[in-house]
Amino acid sequence: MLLEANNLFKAFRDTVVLNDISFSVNQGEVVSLVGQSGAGKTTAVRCVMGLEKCDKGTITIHGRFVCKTENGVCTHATKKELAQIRRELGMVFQAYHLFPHLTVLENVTLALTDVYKIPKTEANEAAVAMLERLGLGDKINNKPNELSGGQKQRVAIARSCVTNPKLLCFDEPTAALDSALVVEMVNIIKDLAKKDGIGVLIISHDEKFVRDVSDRVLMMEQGRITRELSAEEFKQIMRA
Amino acid sequence: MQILDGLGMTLGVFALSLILSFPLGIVVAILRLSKVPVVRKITEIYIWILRGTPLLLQIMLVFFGLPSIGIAFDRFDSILIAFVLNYAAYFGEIIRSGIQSIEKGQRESAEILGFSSWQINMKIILPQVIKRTLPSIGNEVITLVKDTSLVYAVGQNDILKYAKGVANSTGSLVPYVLAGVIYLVLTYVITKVFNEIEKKVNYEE
Repeated sequence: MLLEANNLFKAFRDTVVLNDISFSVNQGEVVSLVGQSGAGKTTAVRCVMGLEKCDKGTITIHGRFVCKTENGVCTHATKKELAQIRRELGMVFQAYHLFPHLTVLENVTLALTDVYKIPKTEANEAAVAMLERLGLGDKINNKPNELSGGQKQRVAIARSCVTNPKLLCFDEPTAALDSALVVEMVNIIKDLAKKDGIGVLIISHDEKFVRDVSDRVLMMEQGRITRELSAEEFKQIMRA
Repeated sequence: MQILDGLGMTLGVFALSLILSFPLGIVVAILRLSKVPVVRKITEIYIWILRGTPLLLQIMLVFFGLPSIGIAFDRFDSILIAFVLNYAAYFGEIIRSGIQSIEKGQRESAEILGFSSWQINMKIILPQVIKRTLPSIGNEVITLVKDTSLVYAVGQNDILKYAKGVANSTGSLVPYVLAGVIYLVLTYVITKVFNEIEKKVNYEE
């Protein structure tokens, strides 16, 4: 199992956001978390990423603990451990968060050269290959603000994928895309899952997109996972 | 053209103060945003005192006051210490506001990419902060040029001091006008330099 999250609890002051949820993602599998805003989808993913600390629960990524709970005591990965775990993680935010002062190419190469210490020429080659694969070969020297929303998102995907993560999370990937681009996004994500074996965890409330892209769908409501459906089951529910 | 003899003092105080106070200002900003309450509080007090009292007073305290507790600096060093501490407080506050204006997502996305806190600050946050705060920094730099005239307080001879000397001995106002023109030339050059830097770092966000 690539990602396993068990019995997560999280409250912000008096508001319970995660109320005993468990889920998992396999290699090469696309899993979607669906539900209304406020259901706890984003918090769940932020806990997996180590951006938020859950109050209780255990999360493992490839056998490494992001947090673990033993005898009711929850301990979190240290900064160092988290850095190691994050080498296997990628995240495409809803607002992309590209670095505005860097070119598209620099956005993609910076982690390679500065975190992974890969020589510049090699990093450039890897980045260009990734950008070309995502159809951005002619944009490498542009600044992010010169791109459309869909292009920015693909740069964010390239930036996350160039480091070969095993788990990639998307927060509302279709929120800013028109229907033609949604189809393209489905293809990109499926390609990454099937070809590269990346496990993909998606937060979305776009039901059509979820239907087309997911292998498994987890429905969330008020901090709980209320239903876990296979792609087939989800399609049937949508038809009804 | 005796006034020009003071130009070296004016430019020296200006350049050294700027070169030393700006990096210190970055440090002040980082300490001011520290997670450790004591560090934050001490930095706040430092900023409060340095911004809350006249620079002239600070210069005099360093030169005339510190020797009474056994710490003595010569005239030029005293001036420099006061200028650097004072301007670092101002730069610190400008940079702090810039850091806080950068959306949280920049830091979070960089964290997940694996960058260390130092790398995030230096490669991702600071370049954006400089771009956003450049107009305010430009203001401070121009103020710094004019503040150099305060060095007369501890008997150093800058442009204005020479102008005063010549004016007193000749009874003419021309030296003052000349000094004014020199300040204008200096601030004009600085304005141009900042315009060029702004053009260079200009990108839409």
